[in-house]
Amino acid sequence: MAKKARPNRIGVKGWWTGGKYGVEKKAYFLHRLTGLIIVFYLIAHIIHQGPWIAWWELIVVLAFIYHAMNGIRLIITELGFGVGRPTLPSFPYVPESLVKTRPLFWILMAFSAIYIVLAIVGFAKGG
Amino acid sequence: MAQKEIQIKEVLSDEIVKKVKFKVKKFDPEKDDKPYYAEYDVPVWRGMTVLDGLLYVKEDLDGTVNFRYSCRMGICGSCGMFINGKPRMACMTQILELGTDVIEIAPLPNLDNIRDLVPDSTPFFEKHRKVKPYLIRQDVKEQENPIGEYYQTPEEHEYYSQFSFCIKCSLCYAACPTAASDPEYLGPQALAQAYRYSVDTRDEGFEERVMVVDDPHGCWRCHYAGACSEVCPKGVDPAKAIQLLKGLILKYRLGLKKKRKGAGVIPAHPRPGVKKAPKRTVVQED
Ligand code: SF4
Ligand code: SF4
Ligand code: FES
Repeated sequence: MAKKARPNRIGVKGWWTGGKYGVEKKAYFLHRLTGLIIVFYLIAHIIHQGPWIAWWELIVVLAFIYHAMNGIRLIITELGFGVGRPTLPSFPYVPESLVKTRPLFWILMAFSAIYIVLAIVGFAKGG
Repeated sequence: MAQKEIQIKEVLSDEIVKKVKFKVKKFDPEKDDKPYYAEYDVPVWRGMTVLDGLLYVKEDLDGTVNFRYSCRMGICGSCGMFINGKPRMACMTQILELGTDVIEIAPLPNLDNIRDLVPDSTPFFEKHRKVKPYLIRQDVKEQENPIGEYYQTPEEHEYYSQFSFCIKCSLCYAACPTAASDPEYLGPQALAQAYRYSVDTRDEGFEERVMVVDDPHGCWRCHYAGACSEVCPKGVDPAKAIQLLKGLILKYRLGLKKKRKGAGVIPAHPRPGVKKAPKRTVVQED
């Protein structure tokens, strides 16, 4: 009897596996992960009103910083700003939409790093 | 040293310069419960592509290996495979450029696997069809019975020409992390084509396409991972097209997008003042 084809969709795992790609793919994964952490925290916070384990709050703050900074990049680029105009590709083709927006990514990541350091220092001082 | 002479000789020679191991993922739905890797030793000459290597395996080592190809020159879009950690066209991938002694080849992910290296592209083509990838005109009667060509300037052609190089190979679809977790997601190829047709000045179908792509499984599912653009063999840069599409839809939803009529028809030949072309001298036989 002829059997059917084998399902081969990677699934949620594909957010971080599925091939060797550039920094945008990693940013995509981190964005989804930090988004889930924030949502999870909000739900947990509504259910559980009492005091929180401090390091868990720090993680949420760090997640929030990354999510907000990368989110700024996504809002700008996903509305088509800075991704370049359609051009005739010459080969080897380097995707213009990625090359052009990468500086923005690194600038925002530098800001993230500063905020993250400040948050950790504040946390260590018992803020 | 006569550098130039050596280069020409090297390019033209079919001398074996290396041996590599092909690890090919095999799966026969009639016999196997699970896919497995088969290994083959492949001699490599300069200019040999992964597709050449697979043809060598099929002809000389194991006739049961299945894969899909047609043009051998990056035009038909059939030979997409997952080669050494990335979706690539087998016919456009030089073995020596990969630089590894072992080459791992699997079928493209995110599409069902029919057999060995062959994916089932049907859902991918269905998504392409969904975005209405053709010129839509309000005057259908004129479109069905054309009296001439539509106007388009070279500048207007540039609005979309980059995206029209797509060969529907589905490499981008295999690379996209959103397509990996959402089977309903239209995917980079279809969304890029929605943009390609919507900005074509001959088209009047933008609103019809918005109904398809402005959807939870449409363009807003893309979060700019850029994997699609990285693997596209034709420089289409689908991520660019999708972000431009989102911008266009937002503009449209805010009422800022100017309504435009599709380009008019170029008057029938000859135009005034232009001499009529001579009669055809070669008559086509049936
Ligand atoms: S840019 Fe969008 S369509 Fe392209 S791989 Fe990323 S999520 Fe998928
Ligand atoms: S956009 Fe590029 S990768 Fe995607 S189907 Fe078209 S040619 Fe292939
Ligand atoms: S065989 Fe046609 S694109 Fe590779």
